[in-house]
Amino acid sequence: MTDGIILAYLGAALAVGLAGSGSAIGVGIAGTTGAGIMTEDPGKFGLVLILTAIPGTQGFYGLIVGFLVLTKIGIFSGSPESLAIDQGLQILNACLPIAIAGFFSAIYQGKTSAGSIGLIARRPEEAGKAIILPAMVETYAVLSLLISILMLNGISI
Amino acid sequence: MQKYINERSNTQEEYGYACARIKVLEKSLLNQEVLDKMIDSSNLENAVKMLSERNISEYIFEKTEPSYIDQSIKKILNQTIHVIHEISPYSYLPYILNLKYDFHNIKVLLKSKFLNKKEPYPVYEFGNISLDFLKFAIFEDKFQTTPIKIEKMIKKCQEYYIRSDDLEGIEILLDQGYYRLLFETLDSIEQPFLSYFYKSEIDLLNIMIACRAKVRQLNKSRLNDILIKYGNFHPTKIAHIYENSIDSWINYFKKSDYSVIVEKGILFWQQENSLLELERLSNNYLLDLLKIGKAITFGIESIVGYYYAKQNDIHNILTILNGKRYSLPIQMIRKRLRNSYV
Repeated sequence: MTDGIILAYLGAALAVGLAGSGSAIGVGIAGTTGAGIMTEDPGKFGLVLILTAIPGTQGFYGLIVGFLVLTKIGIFSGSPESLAIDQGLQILNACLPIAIAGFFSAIYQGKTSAGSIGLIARRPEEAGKAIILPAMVETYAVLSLLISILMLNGISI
Repeated sequence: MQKYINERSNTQEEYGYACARIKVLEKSLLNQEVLDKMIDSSNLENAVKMLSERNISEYIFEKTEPSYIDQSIKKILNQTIHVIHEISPYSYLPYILNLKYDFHNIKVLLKSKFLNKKEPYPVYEFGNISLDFLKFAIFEDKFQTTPIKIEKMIKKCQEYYIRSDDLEGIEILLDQGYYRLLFETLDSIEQPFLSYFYKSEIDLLNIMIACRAKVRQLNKSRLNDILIKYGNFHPTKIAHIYENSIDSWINYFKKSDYSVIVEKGILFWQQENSLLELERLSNNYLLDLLKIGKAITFGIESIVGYYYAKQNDIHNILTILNGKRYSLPIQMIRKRLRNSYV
């Protein structure tokens, strides 16, 4: 196995691992708050579920980038490409946007979702606005996903 | 509101579950509209009916007798404390909130003992220390089940009473003991909001004590003895201005957070010879302080806010129901009401 492949693996691992960890933390924060609401008002389950699930998307974005990396280096075809160190570094760098932004945005989205869950507890009629607030945090995760994909596409192997 | 926000505000994620539950429970608090309807109702029965119309089970009173209402109110308080106990991630908050009931019970039991009064005692069935344990300690001198600090406090009060025969002095000793124990607990936890809140409470209490002392024409050194420590204004500062004219008190507090309360409260006192406005404004100030809890998703502020909001509701319900019971004029009832939390 070449050094380039090791760096590419590291990139894929960071994209999936960090974005997934951020999502787990974010969903955990929102879920705890959601449980509090449902203890008193189980009828809010539908809205709480949506708001709790929103911070989970970063984990999927990380998975997409990780999958693209593995496809690019030929893992699924059974014969991995032989990569030079600079190619491996390029892949690692391409994974960083979604790894870093995915991790932090998921945590902060979890907190915003928790705030929105509090909002629907008091004013269920404001559910639409409550969903918009955490969705705004999502923008930055989507932007980082986009850059990661564009950077990966620009790497020639 | 910003000045009450500190570095720990909205960062305590362990309170997420509790805050969420509180957000739902807050919906059962009384708003100004309900209070107005109760005040405008023609008699006590209609006021109780207005309250019941909100369909909140704990506010449905089946009878209007004072003893029944009193028991129902104690039940509401007990339930509130029970919920807080259930949702608090740490045990210190229920402990702090219960401390007041412990000291109330000690006061009542000690007075009953000294005055040879028989049961029933107007005590709370809840608190950090079981009522039976307190009775054992106070009536039978059996302190095995009483915390050592409380034991010392009770013994100190008993010795003081034997020496002085002064029941008011016992109250002062216990009030000071309550705040000492409270601040010992606050010093051991990192909750700047709680410290800020209780310091403000002490400041306002000390202003009220100074006014009452003035009415009773107590001297400066006696006032110094009865003022509570631990506030933002040291008792010696308050004692220092005590002998000056009342108008100079307004100037002294002008640059503080309490300037409006002191100014309006003292003006009302001078005009109406009553401290009612000062008390009402003080309570409203503390309630405003707690309203930050409504905007917090991760913090102790929401729970403390809800607890005091519930107490506020109880005060307002009792004020209206007692006003209706004794057919007081609507304006008089209104003057005694506190603002609504919601």
